Amino acid sequence: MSDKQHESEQDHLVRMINQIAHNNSAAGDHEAIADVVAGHVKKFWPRRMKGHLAECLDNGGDVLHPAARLAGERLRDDGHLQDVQPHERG
Amino acid sequence: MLQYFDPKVNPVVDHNRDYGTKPSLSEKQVVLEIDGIAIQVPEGTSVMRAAAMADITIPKLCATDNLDAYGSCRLCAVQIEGRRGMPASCTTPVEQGMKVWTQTDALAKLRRNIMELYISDHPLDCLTCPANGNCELQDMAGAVGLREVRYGFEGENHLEAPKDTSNPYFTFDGSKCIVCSRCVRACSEVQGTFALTLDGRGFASKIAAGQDEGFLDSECVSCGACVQACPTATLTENSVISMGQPEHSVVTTCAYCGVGCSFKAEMKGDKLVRMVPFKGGEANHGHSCVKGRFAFGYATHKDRIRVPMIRDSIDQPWKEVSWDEAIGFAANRLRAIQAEHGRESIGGITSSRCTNEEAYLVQKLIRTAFGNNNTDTCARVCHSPTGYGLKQTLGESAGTQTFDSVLKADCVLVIGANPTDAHPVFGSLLRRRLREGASLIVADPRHIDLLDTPHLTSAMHLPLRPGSNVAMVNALAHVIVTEGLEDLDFIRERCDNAAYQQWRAFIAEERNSPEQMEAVTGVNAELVRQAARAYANANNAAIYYGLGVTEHSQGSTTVMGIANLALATGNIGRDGVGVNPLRGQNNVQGSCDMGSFPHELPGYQHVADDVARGRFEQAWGVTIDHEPGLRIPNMFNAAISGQFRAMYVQGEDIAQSDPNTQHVEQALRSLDCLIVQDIFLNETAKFAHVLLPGSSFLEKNGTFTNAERRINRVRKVMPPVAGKEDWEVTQMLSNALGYAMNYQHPSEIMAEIASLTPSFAGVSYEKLEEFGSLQWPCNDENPQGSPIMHVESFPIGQARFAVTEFVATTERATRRFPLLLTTGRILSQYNVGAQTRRTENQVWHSEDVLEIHPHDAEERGVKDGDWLGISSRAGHTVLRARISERMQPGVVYTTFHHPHSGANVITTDNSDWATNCPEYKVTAVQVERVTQPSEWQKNFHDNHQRQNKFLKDATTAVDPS
Repeated sequence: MSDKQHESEQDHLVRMINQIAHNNSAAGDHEAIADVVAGHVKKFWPRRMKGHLAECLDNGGDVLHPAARLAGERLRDDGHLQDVQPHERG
Repeated sequence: MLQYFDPKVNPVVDHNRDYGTKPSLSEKQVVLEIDGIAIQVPEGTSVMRAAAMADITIPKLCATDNLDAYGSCRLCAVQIEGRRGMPASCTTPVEQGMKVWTQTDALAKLRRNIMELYISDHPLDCLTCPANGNCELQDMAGAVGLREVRYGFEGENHLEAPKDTSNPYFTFDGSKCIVCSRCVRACSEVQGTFALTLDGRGFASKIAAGQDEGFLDSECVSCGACVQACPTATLTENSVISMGQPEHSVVTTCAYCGVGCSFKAEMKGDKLVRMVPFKGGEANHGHSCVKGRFAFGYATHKDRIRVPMIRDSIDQPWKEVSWDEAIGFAANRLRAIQAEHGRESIGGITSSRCTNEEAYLVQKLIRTAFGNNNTDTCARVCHSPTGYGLKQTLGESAGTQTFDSVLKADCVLVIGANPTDAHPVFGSLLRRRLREGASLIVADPRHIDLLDTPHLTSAMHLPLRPGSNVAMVNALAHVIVTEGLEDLDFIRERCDNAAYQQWRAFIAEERNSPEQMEAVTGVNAELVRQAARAYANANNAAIYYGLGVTEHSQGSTTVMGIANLALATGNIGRDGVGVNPLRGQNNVQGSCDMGSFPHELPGYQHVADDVARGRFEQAWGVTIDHEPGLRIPNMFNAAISGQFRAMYVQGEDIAQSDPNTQHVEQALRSLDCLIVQDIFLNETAKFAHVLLPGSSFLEKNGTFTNAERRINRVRKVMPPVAGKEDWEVTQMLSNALGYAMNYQHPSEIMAEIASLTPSFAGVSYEKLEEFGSLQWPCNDENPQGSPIMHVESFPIGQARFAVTEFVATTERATRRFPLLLTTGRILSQYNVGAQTRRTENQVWHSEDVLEIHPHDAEERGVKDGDWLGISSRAGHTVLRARISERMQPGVVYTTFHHPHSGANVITTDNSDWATNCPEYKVTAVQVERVTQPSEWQKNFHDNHQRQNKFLKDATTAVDPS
């Protein structure tokens, strides 16, 4: 995997989650927007993207919309981003 | 013995019979007697139709039951007790107690005289005539007992009238014409194009296309309604002229657009002679377009893939192998990749062109044999925002109406859809309603043909800028709310109050007013206000929308905004209203219903829903992942970064249809194993390692679900060219991977779907045979399906208004890229063109062109027909220019039907915020005159040559012929 490619995928993901935050800005304050963003990510994003979000937060998450960052932190704290690799089941 | 009065009461309609005139919809019943037989029919029925319903055939020529009665041939004259003369039965309505006689000596003489006149100016070449065996004129001559023509054939006549062979699919032979005008009336009443006219008077009258310029050069759209209506050999399919009359027929469903027309495939043995739209089809009622009726030649095209093929790398020629070897090769590779790179390193794509059963089976294969949720479908790139937006607001991911519902609409709002090109049979129905007086509002950057509907009474065009849909929909809603045009009773009873109050406060803000939004939409605020009033004040107002709504960065928001409009005005839950997504491909609705998305099991049941997932786990005997899998764009990204290594793609050409082609090609080249199942070597297959021959819709059994949620049967009329239907191939692959599937027939797959999907619980092949088609939800509450949704309640109880903040796309005109490109479709070609490009439809559209406004063209020194280089931040391609005022200045337009056009080389990776549906409809570009193709096009051409040689070499290796 080239770093450049990975970086651009990361950039793309940041763009997407910020887009979700912007499109739900009418939900209210950052707390309320974060609720919507977190719900959306939890429901629709695959493990791979959740993993990238966790990496982004590990790097400080400065590029994230404040509500998106809050959503990410909540998801991480609730354990929804840690399950990056699928459980191997029998 | 007692005589009982026992009239035949509204007998079952036989869709293979011509009843002569249209049915009456009156509730009031009338009893009359025809030739001594009593029959009860609805008031308003013609005597001709009443007779046919009593199984009495009255001779006729100018009448047919999809046209208004005309009364010109006089052959259908009857005698009625108490009335003088011999009235035409087609134009005479029944009356209570009427006594009709259809066969008397006087009538026999009259009819013979009429036929004698007709035949005196008609060639007597019946034995060599293409209509021999299926000619109403011939039948009538026989029925009336015509034995001689006293006038001779020497006088002035039309026997030397010329033929018009300009249309590739049918021939007009003027010498056979009896000037009954059925073709003219079909063109106006059924199709709504008004291309045909009756030219001249009396003996000189003749049928003319356009300004008598021939069919191909006229405005004729080649729908074939005239050919179907013609009672003689005057208008005949060329396939019938060359092959002769068919000997049996099978009712099936068209595989082109989301209208889902029913057709009789008329056959000779296993050879398809012609497709005739089936009168009993609820979606199309006996009408069709040029694609469905005529463009079926691709099914037997020489390019069809007939044998499974494999290769180790995409730089090698193909090797033809047996099915077992190809499937074994694919399974071994998939297992080896998963062993090395993990369970999530593979995935697949279901097809929106294949059947429900096939889409269901592919996602089942992925969730069971692959053991992950990495399934997606091409709805990702077209209508995924519809699924999201309608589920959020109305609680179900589907349109709310039947197509017929439009006949009760008083105001029709069309947003980002072009039905006369993309959904032609619905377009004709809509035009009929517009001719009857419904008002039309079109919100579209282009002046679409619907705005030029003949006999349109009231039409408004809101020529908004690409990317401003949400601003427009919000402005319309603002007017409705602030001018007191809401349906407050509906809102109170049917909608969630908290969500409504939040939305209302938002939408009433001045920033959403037409005046404030004018700077964004570019549409005059007063015009927007008029449109909002027209929509809100109509008794029944309906919204129809297409990919011009969904394929934007705010596609999902616009869909929710559309639902808001319908909810605010109470236009939900009855005939004539609703929210109607016009689906692109034949089975987009079905592939979505069947659990093709990575986060949803069949019936839109989320993978994280333990109860729903538990049912599937129990039925399938596996553990299903509770996290969503990869969407198509994720698969591409993961492939490029090396974590996603193999893909099974059934019946979709992602290399041509997905945005940012160079990115897609890079992803496909990165795969270790790409398995493509298709009927042709499509663009994606050029990157494949395993090529599995697909079967066309004519070669398999199954069901399609159209845009009105109608489940229709697809029936096999000929054997698959490579011996297997698509579902059988998926089943083989599953078995080779160690997950056992053992279906004997698609009906068994449907039974499994019904057992696991609440909205399909009542669907079975037996019931489809009984009712013809079923609209889901079909279950215990709605055993015969649900034509109109949300009549009494919503699946989520109360509907939810959604706050729809306008967020401008990042794709905007700049100094470097000053124009906005938007893309679309044309009538004669279908989607990526793989099918229609292999038919005579090419005569109408053999290349994609760039439409550019005269102002923008002049600024760049561009003339019609010049080669134009089009550049965006994603790529560069070259197309020929067409100067057109259909575009507004600053906007250019093209289609994507031809792969070498590279329309998607230019489109970017921008996408809908909620679903990642690509923003095909807005790309900032620059345009300049050039002299040679783009670099991408040169590479495309080279790769095309090389890959076709690999295919050709494989074929010759086995079969030297």
